[in-house]
Amino acid sequence: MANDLSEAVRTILQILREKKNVLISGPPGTGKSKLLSELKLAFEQVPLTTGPGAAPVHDPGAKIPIPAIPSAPPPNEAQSAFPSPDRRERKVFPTAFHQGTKYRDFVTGITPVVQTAEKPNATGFRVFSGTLYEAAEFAKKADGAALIIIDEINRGPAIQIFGGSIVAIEADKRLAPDGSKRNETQFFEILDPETGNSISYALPHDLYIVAAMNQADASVEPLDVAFLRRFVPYSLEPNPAVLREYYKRPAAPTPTPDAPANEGDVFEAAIQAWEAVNGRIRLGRGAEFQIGHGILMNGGEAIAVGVDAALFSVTQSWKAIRAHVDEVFFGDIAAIATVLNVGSRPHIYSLNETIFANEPKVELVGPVTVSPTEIYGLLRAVAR
Amino acid sequence: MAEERPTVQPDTIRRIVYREISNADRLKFTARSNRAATGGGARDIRFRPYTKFGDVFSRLFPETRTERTKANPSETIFVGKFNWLESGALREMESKFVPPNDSRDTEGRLTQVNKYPCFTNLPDGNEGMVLLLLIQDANGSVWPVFATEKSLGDPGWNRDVADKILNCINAKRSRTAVAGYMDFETGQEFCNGK
Repeated sequence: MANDLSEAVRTILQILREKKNVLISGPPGTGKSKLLSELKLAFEQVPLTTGPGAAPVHDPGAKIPIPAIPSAPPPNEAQSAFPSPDRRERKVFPTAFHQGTKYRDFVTGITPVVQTAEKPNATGFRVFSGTLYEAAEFAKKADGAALIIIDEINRGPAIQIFGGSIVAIEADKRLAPDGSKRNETQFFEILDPETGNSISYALPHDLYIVAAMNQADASVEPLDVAFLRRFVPYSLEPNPAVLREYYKRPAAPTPTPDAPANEGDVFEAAIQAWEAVNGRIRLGRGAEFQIGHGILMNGGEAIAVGVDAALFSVTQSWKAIRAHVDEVFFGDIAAIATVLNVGSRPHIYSLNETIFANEPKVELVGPVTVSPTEIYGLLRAVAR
Repeated sequence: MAEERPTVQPDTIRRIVYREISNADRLKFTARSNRAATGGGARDIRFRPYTKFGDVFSRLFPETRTERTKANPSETIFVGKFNWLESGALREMESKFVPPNDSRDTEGRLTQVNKYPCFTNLPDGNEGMVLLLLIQDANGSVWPVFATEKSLGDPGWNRDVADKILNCINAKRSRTAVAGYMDFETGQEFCNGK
């Protein structure tokens, strides 16, 4: 498994091993969710090497049931990517932040006791163990390592959610690998779920955090510099090479005919139009507002075969691209027209300049919904 | 002919509970009395103090069940499974750990040890102290294994484990059987000597 890791996963695991915390960012459709899924699988794999100091092993039926652990061979390049390679109990704690996420949900906090069929008379309050606390306790086990995956970190009030723990997440602020306190270890106050008392708490050496966000999303509260610098950034960008490989197209753009002869012509037109749209968005709003290559990929379903099926497929993708453009340039008809390259000929859209309430206005004239019969010409016009 | 290896693969260990098997205990495995050739006598291996061993046995045998016992008509006991290999084949059998009763209020008991085929290979006493090890693997299975004081000195043993047991054997204690545990999941250790 370790040898099958993608370059992105291997890079992030290597960063985690050294720095503990990574923040993946990128426009929508650039593969953040897919990367998080790959990271989850990779982290939970038992590393291919064990070394001195690892947990004892039981060999059932052997003359010596708990044998000495042999010295491990030097790890190869793939093995060395693993954070905490000698720890065998590995668990991922996934979560997603949203406007309703609270410090209590992530660290600890008081929550009402819920009456259940088993405890119909339960009343009062208890201390709830949040994702960070649960993962930290898991990583504190003798053979434990934990990875917290936070999707949409900027969709919740991240700074409030982390609370005092933010001072303790950096690599050099953690406990030593054996759980002992180091001079640099940072403690923060939490409500202890065991006792309900306020205690000083520090995060273990073998706890890792990967967060993901779309920078173009409107944050509930902005992530400040002090928060962000505790994470190593890893940026994902729209990648036409991924699409060209996916659709088995040449590495470089090729001319498209006036009418598509096969599905390849349709996909070529779609890729070129998508690149053109992103080029104009970068100029008009910034790179973080682009739309990723995933928008033209059909989520693991088979690629359309034949011109008609391909036209139908890219028509659906175009609707999402157009919705994204409308959102990014909301209310700015001239900018939307520029992104769509309205003005080139032929084009199914045109700009109609008029006067409304004694003020000059522009109106985008053309179909609200593009049909499969119109899509090929539109894509070529946008890409022109 | 090469030795045929069992089908069960080596696994990391969650925890180990160990206890000395005294001459009196040896008779329990064959259901013989300590005092008379009547066939009577206790069949239980006792672990004390319960305040130390109760928690680790609740992890070793994670299920609880209410049973009627001599001392208590409604006794909550810990239930698990012992695993062992017989001619390379995996065997398992229900195992029970009973909390203290009124007459012995500080000790828990591994009961009816005479019923397990895996306990028939008790080492003889010419290799020093004999110990029963209950090894719980990462997959939760519990394997009873015997070891002797001499065999624990073999360099082929995991030294961290063997040395801790040997240190516990050599620790000072009152007239009580050597007993302790190592919990690699919680990081807790206990030896009933000092």
